[in-house]
Amino acid sequence: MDRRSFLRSAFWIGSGAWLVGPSALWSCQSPFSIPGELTMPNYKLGHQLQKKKDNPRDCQKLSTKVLIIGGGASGLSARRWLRQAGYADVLLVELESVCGGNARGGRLEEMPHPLGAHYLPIPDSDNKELIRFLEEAGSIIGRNQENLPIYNPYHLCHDPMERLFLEGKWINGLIPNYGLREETQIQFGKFFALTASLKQRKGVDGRYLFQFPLSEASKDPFMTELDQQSFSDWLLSNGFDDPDLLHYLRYCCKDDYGADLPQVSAFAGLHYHAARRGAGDQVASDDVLVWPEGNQFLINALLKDQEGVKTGFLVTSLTLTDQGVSAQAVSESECLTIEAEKVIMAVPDAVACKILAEAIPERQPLKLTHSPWVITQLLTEKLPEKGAVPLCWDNVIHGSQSVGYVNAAHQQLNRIPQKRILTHYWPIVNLPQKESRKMLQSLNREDWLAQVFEELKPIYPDLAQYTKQAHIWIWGHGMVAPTIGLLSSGVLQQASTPIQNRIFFAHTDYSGISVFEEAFDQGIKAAQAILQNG
Amino acid sequence: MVKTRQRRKTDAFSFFLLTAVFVIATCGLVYELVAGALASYLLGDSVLQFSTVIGVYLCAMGVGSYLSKGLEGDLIRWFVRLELLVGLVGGLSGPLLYAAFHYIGAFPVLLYSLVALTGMLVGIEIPLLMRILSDRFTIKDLVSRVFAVDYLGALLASLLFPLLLVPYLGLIRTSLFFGLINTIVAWWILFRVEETRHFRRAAIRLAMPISLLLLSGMFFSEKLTSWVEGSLYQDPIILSRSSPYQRVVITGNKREFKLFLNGNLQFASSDEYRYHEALVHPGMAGLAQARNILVLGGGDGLAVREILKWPSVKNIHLVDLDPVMIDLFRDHSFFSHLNQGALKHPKVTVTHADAFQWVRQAQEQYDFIVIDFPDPSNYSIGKLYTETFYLEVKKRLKPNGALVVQSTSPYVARRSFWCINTTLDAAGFHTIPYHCYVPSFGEWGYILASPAYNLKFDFKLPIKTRFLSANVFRQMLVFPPDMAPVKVDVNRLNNQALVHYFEADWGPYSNP
Repeated sequence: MDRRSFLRSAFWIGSGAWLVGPSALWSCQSPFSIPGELTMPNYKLGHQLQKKKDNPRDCQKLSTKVLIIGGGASGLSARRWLRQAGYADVLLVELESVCGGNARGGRLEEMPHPLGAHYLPIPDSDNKELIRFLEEAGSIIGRNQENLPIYNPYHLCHDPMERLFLEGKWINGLIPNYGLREETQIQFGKFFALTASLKQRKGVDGRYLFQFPLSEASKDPFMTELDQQSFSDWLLSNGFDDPDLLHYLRYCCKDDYGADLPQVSAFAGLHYHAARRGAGDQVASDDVLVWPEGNQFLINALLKDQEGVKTGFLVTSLTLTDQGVSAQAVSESECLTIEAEKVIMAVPDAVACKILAEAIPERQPLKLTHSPWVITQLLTEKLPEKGAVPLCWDNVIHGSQSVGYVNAAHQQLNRIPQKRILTHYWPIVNLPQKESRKMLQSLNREDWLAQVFEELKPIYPDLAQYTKQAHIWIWGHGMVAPTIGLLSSGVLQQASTPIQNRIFFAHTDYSGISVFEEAFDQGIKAAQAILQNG
Repeated sequence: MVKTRQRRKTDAFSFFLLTAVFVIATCGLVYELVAGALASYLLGDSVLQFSTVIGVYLCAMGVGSYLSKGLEGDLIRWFVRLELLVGLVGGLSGPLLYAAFHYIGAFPVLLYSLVALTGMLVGIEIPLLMRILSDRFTIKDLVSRVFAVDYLGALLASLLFPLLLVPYLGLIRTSLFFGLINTIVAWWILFRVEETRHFRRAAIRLAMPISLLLLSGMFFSEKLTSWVEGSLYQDPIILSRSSPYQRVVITGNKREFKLFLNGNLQFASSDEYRYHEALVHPGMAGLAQARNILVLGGGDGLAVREILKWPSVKNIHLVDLDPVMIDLFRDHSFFSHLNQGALKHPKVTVTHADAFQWVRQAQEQYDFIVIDFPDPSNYSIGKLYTETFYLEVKKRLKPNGALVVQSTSPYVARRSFWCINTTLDAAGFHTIPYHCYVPSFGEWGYILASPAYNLKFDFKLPIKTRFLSANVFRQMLVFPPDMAPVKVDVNRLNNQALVHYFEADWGPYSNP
């Protein structure tokens, strides 16, 4: 079903110009004439730089104690930890011109907006490090009498947080609440009762079964059992077959993992619902922290000073030396030879393997599934909204292929913002990696816009008329999907084991779940490993 | 003898058709005026709206005139059909446009297509009539008479419209009424003109439903208006402006006028003194010597008028979102009369800003802060009643200062009122809730709040008031059981509890 509907949409991409074009021309403005750009970060620059491997002799020589390759959340978290531990001599090299990776945000006409990850659920009380970081970032402003964190009210997502477009109408929240069959209601009720009990369940080792970061979770055999089956199989065998419930759970899996129910392990599918035990002063466990610029806010908080950060450099290779490692890096105009005692590979595993090809030729990349994400930012005039439910932070369309759109101006305190930026998220799931790569490379902005506008048509019939800019941003490697068996197989731990106390790994590829909490933990774990071994 | 009769008959026929020209000219212009008025009412900028509507209308008339040459055969039959069609389209244009108010995106499309269609149909009328009359007059006479009558009809319409029609019938009924007149012209021709006999029956089958539709429209227009507006403006609208933030509507009758923002009553001139005296003076009296005053919201300048009665006041800073409101109440003599020129007073500084943003970046501290926002009927206004907002406002308050919040009706919206009280309490204020009766609003609530418990209420009002006195204020502090405190949540940005209470409390009232 989903594959077929995907193929249908792929057909639309190919023929969109013919099918949608003429009909779109009927409206005052078609998506074709809206200005904007298509960007594919990490791709063009990477390919360009790949070609110009300079002669090492001409390169500027740098030396540092710790080299961090990759300026996403994991690399920055490692850097923060090392610097806080008194390691001043850390050099971070990032390919893009700004740090942030999948957590990046952007700006259009002075208005910040997310480009990727855009929220952080309030963490569990036992995630002490994350809480300490949020205090640094100003998202936690104190403690109440019960010692619960007091969250910054400007960062907690304002009400109304989310809405669902269901059969032509918006409803509050993401769970369908009207016209439901009795069976549907029963299954929703059962599912939430089950996840509520799983939330409190601990394994034989006394740890929670479902926990962020995953490294702190229980290793109970029950977890392994859940991880060895697909979420869709598990749902069926537990009597969850209601189409509305499955729609909702499919949305959740796409939203957090960029993957569909059959791809994701049952453990991961449940993790989304059973791992949030966040607590704080006057907050509910499902409250989230959001910022107009998305998780770029967290990136900026990790990156308080820019000292020892080099952007626009691709690390092409790394070799082991007597003292440590030596890395080659190139930018558009320079090349560097970096001597370091230790290196943290804070890049996707496939990239790490490429860089390490000379040093560790036997290393094979992990077999991971990464769905590409196509992000569309629409800068619009004040849009007319249908119905009584106003625009929310998160706006989801029931049964659609995308996971909806985010209103970047949601946290603004203006009575009525005149402009808006809607960031629309579309994970390309259910497509083999090769095909999806091909599709992305041939994707053109106008065709994609036509498809996005088509999806939003029932909500905003005159969207093109209100849109001033429309940009496409493609994440070729969105986030790793926790596929069946991945989390319990041990391959992730194995692949991220430090090599000769010189090469360390920090990336959500090694967590199996790509969320900020994991990246943050990955960075800390790598930094701690370096500190322990001196 | 026979010849004279024939002649007289011809004369009667001609006179009759010339009367028709007069009537349809009046109708034609009325449709144009209705469209122009509705457009400027909704979209603002009346010069632009009127001139584009007139332009499109005249151009469409030209198109209609040109197309009229295509009509062949029985011209009188065509004319009857045309009258019925003009009656239907023109008559319904008012109600249709009115109903499209809520779909602002679609409104201009509907507006200009209706204007063009009506204009085109009206444009066919005169050339068609001239052709019907062409064998009865010389071209010289024909042109002079038809156009004289046509322009006279236009004059009549342009006088009737503002003086009689809008005040007494309103825009919707005016439009339907003139639609009906067009159909009456058709009926009249059908029964008075011999040549119509052979198609009379067919024409009546068409005329009957159209006339009935327009007639019932006249009867139910009241219902339509209230259905469209949600809350009905009982009185004629005397002024309306649309700003980027809200729709400002002022209605008036002989006794008073009322200000509505987005359809919600803000004050009635006959009893606003009760509201504003109760809002301002208890706090001012309790503080005794307040010098620097901040007013948030309240762009009508009425609270400022009351504050200016206190000689201790040195500065008043008014922060309001909407320049349209300020301009009206500062520069429009009719309204500045009501606030006694308060907004032009040298002690008064006006800032156009969004209150939340402004409060966060402001530096100054004030003795007394008057918070006079619209009721928390939506999320964006609800933010201005949150704990976070009050904590920010607290920073703008001198340690011994106080603030007052207009807090909706403790009778109708009991939970909303006490929610504001609970929220101020959570933000670390000592609160003094009170209420009074404002005839236009009903029971109305206010909350005085101060960081230090220092307000004194053994006051004697040293200023002239019409409503408030020390005795009256003592009564205002008493809440009868049906308005007594209830346990409610604190209003926060992440729960917007107040908006939810407010919707539930006022819901039954807004949709009877």
